[in-house]
Amino acid sequence: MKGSRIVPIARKEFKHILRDPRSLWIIFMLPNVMMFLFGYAINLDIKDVRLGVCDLSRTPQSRDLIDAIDASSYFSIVERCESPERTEALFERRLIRAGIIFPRDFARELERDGRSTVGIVIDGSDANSASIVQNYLETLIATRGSARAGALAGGAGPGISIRPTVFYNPMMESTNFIVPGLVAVVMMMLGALLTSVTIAREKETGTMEQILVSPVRPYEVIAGKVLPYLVLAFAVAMMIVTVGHFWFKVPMVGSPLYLMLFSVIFLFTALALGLLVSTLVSTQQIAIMLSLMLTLLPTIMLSGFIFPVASIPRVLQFISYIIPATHFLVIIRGVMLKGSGPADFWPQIAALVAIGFVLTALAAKRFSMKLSGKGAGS
Amino acid sequence: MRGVLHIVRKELIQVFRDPNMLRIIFLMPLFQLFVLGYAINFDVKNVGLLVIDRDGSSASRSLVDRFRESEHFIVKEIADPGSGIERHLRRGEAILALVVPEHFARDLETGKSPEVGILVDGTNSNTAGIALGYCSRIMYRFMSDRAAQAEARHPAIRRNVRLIEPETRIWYNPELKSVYFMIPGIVAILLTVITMLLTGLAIVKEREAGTLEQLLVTPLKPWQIIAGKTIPFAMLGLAELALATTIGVLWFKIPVVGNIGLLALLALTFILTTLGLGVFISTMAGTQQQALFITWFFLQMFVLLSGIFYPIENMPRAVQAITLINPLRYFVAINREIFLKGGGLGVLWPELRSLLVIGVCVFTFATLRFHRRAG
Repeated sequence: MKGSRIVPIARKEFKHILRDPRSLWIIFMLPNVMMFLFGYAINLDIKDVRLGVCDLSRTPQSRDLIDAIDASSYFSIVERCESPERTEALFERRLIRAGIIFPRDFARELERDGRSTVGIVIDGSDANSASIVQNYLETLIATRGSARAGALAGGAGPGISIRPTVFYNPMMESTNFIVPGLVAVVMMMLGALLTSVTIAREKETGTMEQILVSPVRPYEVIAGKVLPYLVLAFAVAMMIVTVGHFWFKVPMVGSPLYLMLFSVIFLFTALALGLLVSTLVSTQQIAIMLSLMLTLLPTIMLSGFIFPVASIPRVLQFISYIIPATHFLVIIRGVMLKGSGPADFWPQIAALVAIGFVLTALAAKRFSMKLSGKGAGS
Repeated sequence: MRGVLHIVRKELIQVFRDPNMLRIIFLMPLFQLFVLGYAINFDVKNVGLLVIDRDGSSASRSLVDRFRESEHFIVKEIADPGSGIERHLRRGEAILALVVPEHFARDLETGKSPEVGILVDGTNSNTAGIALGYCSRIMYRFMSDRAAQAEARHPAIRRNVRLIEPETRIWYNPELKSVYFMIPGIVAILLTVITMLLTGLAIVKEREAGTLEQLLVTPLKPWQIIAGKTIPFAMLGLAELALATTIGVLWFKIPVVGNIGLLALLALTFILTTLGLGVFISTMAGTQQQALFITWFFLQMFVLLSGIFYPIENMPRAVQAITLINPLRYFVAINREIFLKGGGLGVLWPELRSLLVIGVCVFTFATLRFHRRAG
């Protein structure tokens, strides 16, 4: 009997969706456009970073290192400057992102003491790319540069060799990292935004009273409201996963069935969040602002979409863990790239289920307070 | 003009009437600033590193200690799982595994190069690349220190180990504090949300309620309605900008090198575009939900193509061309220039010019569309 009341509410909500083809069109088109654009646009690989070099030492050692830097695909030297002042001028005019300055006694010190220093200047105003450039440049100079200088001096190189084996993403392509991440971010936002207006709309149009006087129970209303959007959001999610796999060639090593199953759980938490927002506020406008603020920046910045959660300060990691996308990102990247199954990510599944339950319970509680008239008047 | 003022007053009353709205406009952004300002760390720190020491010699232990001392890694030594190391990576216990081979110490002594294996979870290519770089530098330093010690003991040995140490100076943001870098970006995003979304919603709400027709049949001209609907949110946006900047300066100690007055002026040219887009969205959307989704679309595009998170230089040329019409791109550049570098109008003129062109085009187009739909 319980199901019978959920179905009519769900059907009514479905009609709402279908009656508005423009919204439907937007809901299906936007995520696709985003996938296409961002799949191409977002790229953290560093390539041909513009450098200026000032070689005051003018020795075979410095020239050798400059050639090694220029030969790497990460950097391209745009100008060999006569003086450090010239390098700095290029720098201030944003013509180069970093400059390298070889001191006058670079080679002499290197031969005398076995070690020497090279000056690097980096434009720090874009901290993100600056730290990547800093890393690659320092590593290149400290390891390959040192090894070549050792070889020039007749040494046997560093005397230790590293054999890296890269798993899951052997070519280290950032698309493979970004695209599954985008799926998670888009699903999270779509889910929360979809439901955020549903109950607020009923309040605004005054139909809330009609529901309140009807014999439906709060959880029936909640379930009836969530179900159609779950179907809709699931369809969108599968569509963008398909685009990611077939267009952007992101592998699907694991089972798509796992991905589908856990997508449903994840979408459920996102929809529940939107619903909770909807029960908290009185107008659609506020619901929209709140759901956008709650999801846009936190899912991009705290979920591990771009920045690894491990590098976030510990206190803030707690916030990361209550964001559903954080857990789903582990799952979707695991399934698509690593071929993981539930045995590998059961803590994430447990977290998603827990978050989903808490959010739904809170939404149902707020809703039943309204039913018994204890809620803030609306 | 009086008609415009009436609408402005009405909109402001509507916003301030609901305490929830005020909280969302003024408290939520503060919360976001505090949390997100601290959250972002571009440096790779505390990366999980599994160590499998198959040698167990003092040399291998001192190599592992080098990793332990580094702030970049959290070392977890595990018993040799044989070929099952990959399983640890798959479960996400660590993103790197270091395998020190048997006879590591003996090979070092006899001058044979021991081969240290590193297994990398390449899922996050960026983190993986940076972490690998740290690994090779740590090992390189380990080796050259050993060589230096050997030379000190036996001065007769010919010195053939060379170590070039980079000495990096970073300009404008010496500690690469992400707070400095992120806060101007977050402020720009918040300003976009307030001006674009609220303007769009304010007009669509009237359309949904059917009161837009009533407004249109009053003697008010369409431009007056648009002015009345945009000015209040421009005011709110600028208030928000002032608040966020104050917090950034007083709490996060962002060194404002440039001129704040200039920032306000440039912010005005920036919101010309976002307000125009708000009006444009209102002409596209029939319901608030539609307005929400269109806004969401623009926001995502603006944010991800602005250079706040992803460097524009790395984008393919075609996409870089698209970023040229992204107003947020210019405003973020302006913010960083004024906050961190102290550039004046001379430096920022290209950005100002682009913002003006985009703003005037968008606003004119949106107004024309509004007129057409109104007429």
